[in-house]
Amino acid sequence: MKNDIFALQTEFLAAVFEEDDQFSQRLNSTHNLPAALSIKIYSGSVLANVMKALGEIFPVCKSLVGDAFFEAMAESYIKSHRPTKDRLDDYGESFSLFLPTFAPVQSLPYLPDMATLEWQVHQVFHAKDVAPDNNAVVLQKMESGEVDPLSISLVNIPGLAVLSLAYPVQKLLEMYWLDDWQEVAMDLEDTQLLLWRNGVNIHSQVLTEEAYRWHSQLNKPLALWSLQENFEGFNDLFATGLQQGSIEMLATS
Amino acid sequence: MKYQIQGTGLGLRSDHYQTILAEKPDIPWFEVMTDNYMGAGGQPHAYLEAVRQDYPITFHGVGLSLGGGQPLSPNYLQRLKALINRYEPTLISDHLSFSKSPQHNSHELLPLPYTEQVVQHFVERIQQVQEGLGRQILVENLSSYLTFKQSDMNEWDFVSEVAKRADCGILLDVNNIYVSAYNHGFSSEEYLDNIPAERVQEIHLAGYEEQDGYLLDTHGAQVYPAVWQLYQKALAKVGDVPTLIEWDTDIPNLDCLIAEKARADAIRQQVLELKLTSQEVKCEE
Repeated sequence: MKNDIFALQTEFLAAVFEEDDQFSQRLNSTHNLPAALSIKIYSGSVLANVMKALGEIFPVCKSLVGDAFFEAMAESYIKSHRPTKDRLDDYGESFSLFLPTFAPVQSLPYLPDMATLEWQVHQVFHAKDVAPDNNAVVLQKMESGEVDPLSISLVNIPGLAVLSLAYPVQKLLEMYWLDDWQEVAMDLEDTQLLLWRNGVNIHSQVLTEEAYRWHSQLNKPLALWSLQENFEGFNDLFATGLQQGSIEMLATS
Repeated sequence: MKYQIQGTGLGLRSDHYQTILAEKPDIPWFEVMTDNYMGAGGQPHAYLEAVRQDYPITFHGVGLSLGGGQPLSPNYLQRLKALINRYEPTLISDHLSFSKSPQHNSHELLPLPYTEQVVQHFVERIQQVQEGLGRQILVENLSSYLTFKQSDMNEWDFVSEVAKRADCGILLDVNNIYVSAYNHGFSSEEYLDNIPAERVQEIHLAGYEEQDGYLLDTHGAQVYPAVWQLYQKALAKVGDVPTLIEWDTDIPNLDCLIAEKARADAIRQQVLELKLTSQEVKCEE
């Protein structure tokens, strides 16, 4: 019996995503609401909701190509990448990989990088919070001798992303954040970028090679003493991380 | 007091965070769209924490897929439970719908046929959710744009039967009743007459859009006069249950929503006073 419900639901969803035209036979048709129109209403609503969600996750891409173009692009993406996850917020991870295959945007070769950056902004926005005074507490304990410095590890905060991009698209993101659009050259320019969130505010910063290596390694906790040994600019990196709130000190004792 | 919340609440929307926190308007409670707060942290939680300090809240979700054919998502339930523990909502609700199959998630409230088999399916899954959360939930009636040849009962009998057998509450969306009644040609009044009043713990009101031959539930307009009239009848039947003004698209400023809330309050006061008077008269007889 349960199989009947399951089969009906599979057919219903296939019809909503325009993959099945037999489903309408299961429906009553009235003068005002013929079965085909009924399905079309649901298809339209689903498409509009998912496109809206993509527009909210990729607002800079949307601004760059315009609303109508973005909708066409999003519709093509939705057709080839059906939403399956529980949360609409988790949909769109592969948008940056789809864009190079979407012929009409070949003239904007930096758009996939922009989508990569926006997806990471979205992740950082929703990431787990850290207690704001955690590092100060650990530092104080270290200074008072309550915690052995050898037991201290460092790790990136959860709301942080390290990116390696082919285009300097962070300039476009900053203009969007400031709502101050200006002409900017989008030439190939390898860019290592840090994104992190303090409280509710997201920041971005172009990284030096050593800072890029530092944050790439801090995706997992590493002992403070080993970092001191392996990074020539440790003092600056450590101080900057504390000041930015981009690293978290963990005391294992 | 039967409920921890009373009167007319509003949906908490990010457009209004700043105004609510700065002005602390006289609104008895806010409804929170659970699915918007399923992320681990960040701005949504920072604002919700702040709003929660001053206002009671209810949780309203669209992601449980209570009628779904797949097992309930343990991940979704776990997140929901964590949110409940953190924010302590007065009521928790979702819809009598399904949204996904293994190949698709529509994130839409899709109806199912009204049959005994589907009643039983909903009952089992609502009971699973209630056991998992350790408390009762409310289920909301849908607005719909199709009916199944397979259905062999009325929508109101379907909703009533599910609620009674699952021992859950009903979130009665009066606008949805009006929209579906118009679209499918049944009587809104008959619907109301046959809903078990004792199960109704909350009412939703919203605006719809007139399309060519049917009504579309958009939550993007003021409540229509016919829906206000139906609300009066609903209150006369179910009594003083909390009411929510829902507005999700083309969201206006908070003052506009507060004006809608005032209208709902005025109707409630009028209906309940009338009810009280007629009860007093009965006593004298």
